[in-house]
Amino acid sequence: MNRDKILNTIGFSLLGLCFLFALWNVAFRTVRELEPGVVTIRFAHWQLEGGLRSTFDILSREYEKICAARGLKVRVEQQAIPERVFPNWLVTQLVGGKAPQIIAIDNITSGSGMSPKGMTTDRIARYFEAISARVHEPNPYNIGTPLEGVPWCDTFVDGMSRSYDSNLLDYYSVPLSMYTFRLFYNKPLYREIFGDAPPPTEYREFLKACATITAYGRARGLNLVPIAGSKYNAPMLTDYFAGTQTQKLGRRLNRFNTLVSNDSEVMLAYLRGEWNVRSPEITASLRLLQSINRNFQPGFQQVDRDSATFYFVQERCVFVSAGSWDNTSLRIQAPFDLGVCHIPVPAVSDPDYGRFMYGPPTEAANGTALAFGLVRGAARSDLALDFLHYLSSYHGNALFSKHSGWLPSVIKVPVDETLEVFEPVIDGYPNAFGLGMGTETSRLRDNDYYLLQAFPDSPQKFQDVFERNGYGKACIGDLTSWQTRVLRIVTRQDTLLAAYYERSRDRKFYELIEQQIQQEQSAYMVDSELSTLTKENQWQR
Amino acid sequence: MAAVSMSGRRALYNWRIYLYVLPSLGLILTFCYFPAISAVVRSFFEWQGGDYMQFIGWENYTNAFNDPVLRSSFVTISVLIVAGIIKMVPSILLAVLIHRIASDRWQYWYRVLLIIPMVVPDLVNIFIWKFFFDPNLGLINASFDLFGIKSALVWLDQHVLHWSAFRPDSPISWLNEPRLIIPSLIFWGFPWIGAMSVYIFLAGLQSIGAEVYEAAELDGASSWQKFTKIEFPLIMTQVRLNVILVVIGTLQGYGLQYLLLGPAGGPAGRGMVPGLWMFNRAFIAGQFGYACAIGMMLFLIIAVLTYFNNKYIRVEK
Repeated sequence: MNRDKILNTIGFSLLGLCFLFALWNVAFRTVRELEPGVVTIRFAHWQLEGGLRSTFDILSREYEKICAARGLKVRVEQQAIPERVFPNWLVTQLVGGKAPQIIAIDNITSGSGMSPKGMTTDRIARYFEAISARVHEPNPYNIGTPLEGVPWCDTFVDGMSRSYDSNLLDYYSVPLSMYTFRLFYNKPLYREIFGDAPPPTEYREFLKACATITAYGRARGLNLVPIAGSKYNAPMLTDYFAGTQTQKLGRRLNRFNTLVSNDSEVMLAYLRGEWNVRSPEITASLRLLQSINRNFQPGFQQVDRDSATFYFVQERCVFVSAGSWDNTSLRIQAPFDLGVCHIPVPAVSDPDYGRFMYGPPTEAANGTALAFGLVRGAARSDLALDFLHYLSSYHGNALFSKHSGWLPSVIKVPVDETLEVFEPVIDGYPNAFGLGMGTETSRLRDNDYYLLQAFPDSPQKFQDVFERNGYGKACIGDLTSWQTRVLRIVTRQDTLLAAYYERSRDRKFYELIEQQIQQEQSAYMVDSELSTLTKENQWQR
Repeated sequence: MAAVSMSGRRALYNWRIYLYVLPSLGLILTFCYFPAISAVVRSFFEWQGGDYMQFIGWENYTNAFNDPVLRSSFVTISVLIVAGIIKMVPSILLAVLIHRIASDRWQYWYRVLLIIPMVVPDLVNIFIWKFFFDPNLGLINASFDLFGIKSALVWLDQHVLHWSAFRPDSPISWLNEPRLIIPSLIFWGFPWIGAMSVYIFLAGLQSIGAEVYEAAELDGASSWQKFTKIEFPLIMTQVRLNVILVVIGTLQGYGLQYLLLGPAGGPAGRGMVPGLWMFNRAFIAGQFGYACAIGMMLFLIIAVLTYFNNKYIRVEK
């Protein structure tokens, strides 16, 4: 046999082997799925953080055992989809009718009316099952626990408020955790620099600590910076700091006295001239932001979350800001003892920044997270719901929290000592607004943000360019999109309203009418104000 | 085999043969033409991606003509197209070098070596480059420091450019300095050898007969003269094809800008290109109708450029 023939045979054999392996793999999976009497429950999410997938595996096996004890053969499969492709995967699965029974749902918060993971009100209404009928009944898995007999919704720390869709007037998801932002630090390195001193609890102390770290690094010729930043991690810290400076201003602009800053109110107030980018509160928040930015590694804005983690675990930085969801990941990756502290915001007595604040920010409004919804029409959705009952039960959620290192979402569930620092701070005052409040305003802010670093001594250049680039126009754009979207939702609700009218004019019918009136009122209020303002100032809408 | 001409009457008589074309025609119409036609229709509506659409006539198009971001994105893309055409030069030179290798075996191995990087998906390639651009850990800054290029750039900045982008005390932030964004997008992929382009040029070079080279050698032509008088003119068809591919690819593409700079086009929006703006409007702002209008404008521009390229950039055989 000549050499070419041998090479061709090897190549062909390799190809054949790969094909056979793939064929065997698919066939094996199919056969497993076709196993008589076994019900498969699949659930999908995008959380690839360390520790979470193994926790879900533990919970799945536990649930399988519970079902087996009941004489039911159940297999639970987890599908962890990378965050970047999750929106595309979601749409393909839902439209294709091949979606797993349970899918993670995130909050619709972005300006486009679409959540970062591709969820829209339309999709929730079309593809997910409302669980409202069940949320007022007790969770069967809570029998014999302190939560026995308590309605399911009341077993969650937020009363399932995040699971309720105010446009669709129904509950759609079951949360398993809560999120908070914290400052993580390298304990041995911190001790090496500061001795036994505790981590900073207040802004001035934090700045002083950062200066000491920089000086320490310089003196020893180390490439050491105080905080690891990235375009993912840095805003967790900077937005938190900046938000404190608009606490009082936000309250002043809150015409409807809802006590929570409302983006459309704030943008209208900007257009009315009640505040601007040079207002003392905004200038203070920008200065505060600049003072923090100086302590990140150079060029942090161009790097991703992984780079910031890499920096931190490589001991090139002392601090990194991250969410409670990163706790286990960081602990797994860091080759050193990890410390966690609260974000050290300015004190009310601070000479520069205290006068714009009421006090330390509250995290009471953080609510629950890591919520899962039931896909409509999926096979054995009764068992899928039962699995969600198990996950959110006293024991299930305790097991979840213990193994994942994530906060529980269920009340009375004991929190591990190491997680106590992540528990939301209930006391305090709500942080108000930042400059990015919708799609256009956020884009403008992101585009001009570099000026705060390029001219670190004063925010004036940023303020000049930001207003020149059309912040007012961006506000008009965001308000118009918001108003259009609200009116679309109201129009869509008419079908639902007609159905309720025909079926029975029960509580939901009147709730929906009330909801529509409220939404239309807000939309027309914005429209009317915008029309007057654009006419008076000859702006283009 | 040459195509056989058929009279209209005979073609009608043999109507059954068209049945064989129907499946492929159906698939092409469904998956290629239907979305395109749908985009044309939707570009005349205010559509936010759901089931509700409102007819607004030419408003999306007039808005697009008055959109300063879209306008500046076309300036950026023009620069990138010109750079893309210039970046074809290393591929042409490499193709000529491979073509001139006397040993068939070595030619074969060079071709294999060119194919191997093609296995790496484009996405991975972009991520690797993103890491290269990292100010503190990246390969580019490390090599610039090592070879003293950074000092030269700092001097150039301080005495000639006055950009304040290259500072002696901090690493170069390639993707965080507005003035460095377009240079970074151009520098991406250095040394700019596209395996596919090299193969296209090689195909052209291989069609040049050995007698042409023999005649040139008898006339005493140097290597450079062979390139300028024989090889380059005779691969103009391939060059033209590559130019079209570069223009279309650059105009349509936005993956590089999206992954390196994000959906807002980076600092000062300097990396915003029409494709990215189309994506931004659709998936960030939820203005799907407007995004369709931008898509239609891009389609028209590509169609016109391709037409002029085919009609006026003729190849003298």
